[in-house]
Amino acid sequence: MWKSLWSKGSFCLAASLLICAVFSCSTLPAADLHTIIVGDTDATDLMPGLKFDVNNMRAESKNIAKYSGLKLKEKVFLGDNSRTSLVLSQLKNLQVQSNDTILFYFTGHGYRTRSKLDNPWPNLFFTFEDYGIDVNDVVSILSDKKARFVLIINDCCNTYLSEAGAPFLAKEMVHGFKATSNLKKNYQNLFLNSRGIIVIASSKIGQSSLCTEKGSLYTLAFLASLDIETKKAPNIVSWQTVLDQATYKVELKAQKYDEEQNPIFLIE
Amino acid sequence: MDFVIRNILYLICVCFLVTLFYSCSNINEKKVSPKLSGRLGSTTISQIQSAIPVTISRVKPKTKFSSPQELEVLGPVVQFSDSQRNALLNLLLEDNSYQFEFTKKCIFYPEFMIRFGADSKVILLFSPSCNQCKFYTSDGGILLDYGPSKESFADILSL
Repeated sequence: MWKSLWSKGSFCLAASLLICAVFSCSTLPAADLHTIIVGDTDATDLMPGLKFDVNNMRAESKNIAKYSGLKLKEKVFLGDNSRTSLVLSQLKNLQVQSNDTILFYFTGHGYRTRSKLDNPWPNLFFTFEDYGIDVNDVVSILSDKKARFVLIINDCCNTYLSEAGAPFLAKEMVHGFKATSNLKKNYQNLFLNSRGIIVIASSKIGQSSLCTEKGSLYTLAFLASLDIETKKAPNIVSWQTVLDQATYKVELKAQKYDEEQNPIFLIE
Repeated sequence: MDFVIRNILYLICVCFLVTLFYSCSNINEKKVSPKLSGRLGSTTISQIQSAIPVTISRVKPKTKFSSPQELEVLGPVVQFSDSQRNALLNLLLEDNSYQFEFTKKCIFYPEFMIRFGADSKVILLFSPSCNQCKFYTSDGGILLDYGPSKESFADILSL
């Protein structure tokens, strides 16, 4: 009898442990999606395009969170909040876990100087302050966070200004709902299972980036490409394809305007 | 019958004279394209058309640029001759000189300034790095992209 009770008891204990284990696994804190969206809406000559950019990117962030299962932690810098010190301190103080994803997005004016040499990334311009942030600094700060995946999108010009005329760089002492069955897996592949860092500039060294009244060419192309690719069959979607498609769309659209805009990206 | 023919000839002559009169009276007024008219407004355009003298100078922002008052004039101020002024107006007041579909996301860094009239009611600044120009009036600045005619504008700016 004792033996039978003992074996029943051990079975119950094992079952309870298993249930506990299952529950504890399922209630593990979800990985976060930290989005930092910056729109320099003080650049009145680019309005209302920039507002569309920011709204489109915010909507896409919600999609990413919804389909990937990442928990969205959004920070938006617009108007009076679009200041170098606020953006840099947000980046610097961002609390990130090793399985989190970070998405940094900037839309506004951009520039570069000859002294940047072969550094291909532009400086992000903040109109009200007349100050810039070097994308290299953004990359450096966010790389140090050791997040699982970092995506940095800079939709701005990459044209030269003379050293004398160029704005100072702010150095923070831092140095709608889609419904297809593939979306979830594709968003998870891109944002939950990817590792490393991707840096994007909407135009190559010396080039302008174009902005229409409906938004910036690159932002519109990136979001369109993401939309198309995430609806495809799972396991064939990759960042390379998403970014290649976005690049192609931008180049084609710019050609129609008799302009050249060649986005650049780095996947590491 | 003769009376009818005479009247027709008379009418043709009147029409010819009226047409001639109108074309002569508009000879110095460049027809303004509708897109440009929509951006700049008729007052600014007529100020540009009637302005004498028209001058050009090299400039650079003293510090942070936000208006023509914050510019430092570099070198001499050159006055356009009549023929140069006409060439400028032909280029400036033509829709095809600009594109209206998009704005380049470049910083506007003025390097040339054109003043219209002694009282400078209209000031035009050029930022050649992205082929952008800005018309300033008392109402503020209007940004335009002169990419489609950048070579012709470069000729004028090199005066």
